[in-house]
Amino acid sequence: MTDEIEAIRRVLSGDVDAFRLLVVRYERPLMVFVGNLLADAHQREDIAQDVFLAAFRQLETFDPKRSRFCTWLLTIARNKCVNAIKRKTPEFHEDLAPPARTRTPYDEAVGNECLARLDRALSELPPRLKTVFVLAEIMDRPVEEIAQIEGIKHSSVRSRLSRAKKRLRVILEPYAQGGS
Amino acid sequence: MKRKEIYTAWKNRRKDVEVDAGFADRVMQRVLAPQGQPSGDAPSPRRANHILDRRTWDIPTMAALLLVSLTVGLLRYGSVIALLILMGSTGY
Repeated sequence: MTDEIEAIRRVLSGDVDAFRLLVVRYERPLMVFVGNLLADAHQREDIAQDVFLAAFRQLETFDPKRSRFCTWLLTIARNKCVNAIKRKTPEFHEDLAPPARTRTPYDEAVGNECLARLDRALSELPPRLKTVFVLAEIMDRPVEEIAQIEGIKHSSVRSRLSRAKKRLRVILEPYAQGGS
Repeated sequence: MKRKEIYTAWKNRRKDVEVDAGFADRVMQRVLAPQGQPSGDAPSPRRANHILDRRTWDIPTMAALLLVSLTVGLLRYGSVIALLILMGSTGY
């Protein structure tokens, strides 16, 4: 955290290379977030780059007293992703396939069908539910941080999360075998 | 297979994102490009907050909407206004 603030201070004083520390530290959480919101691999890369570029250009406005740098970065990413989703034409709608990874034996055991249906259900969530769901369930972010990123109350975060989970639960119903 | 296990497996699968090794380099290339340099001037509050601002209602948009509203209003009620002006000018 201290080295992060120091890197920001150095960037603002003209040492542009210091920004690399921030990129390297947050590229992974950013890619997880963007990768779970956008279907197109090229668009994910473009948006993730744009987020860092926007953060660099607006770094003067970042106030460490108001939020953590990661929260600020995710807020920018959230807004860019929601705008990108809204711009997308309906016929371009595609399943939100998982970001790059290899399939594990567990995937095979669980069954492609169920996982694919969950992927599709996630892709079909409205942006306001999807962003909250990804932050809470996939990225394990606390409610307080999600509320800050979304610009909504804590109660609204819980409500949106509950609605998103309800939709996914329906998908899982046929696969339930004694567990909850 | 329990439902919770499936859900956990699915979540873990979605968390497992590979980050391209050259990503940071590509970002830094764009950052170091001339247009990526931060401006020396302090940004205005409006520009500074623009990136985090969810509102789409800025002053030019509001002005354009007002102009459209006035035009439509004038076209719709223009004849009534003209009649009133005519009545006023003729002292009716």
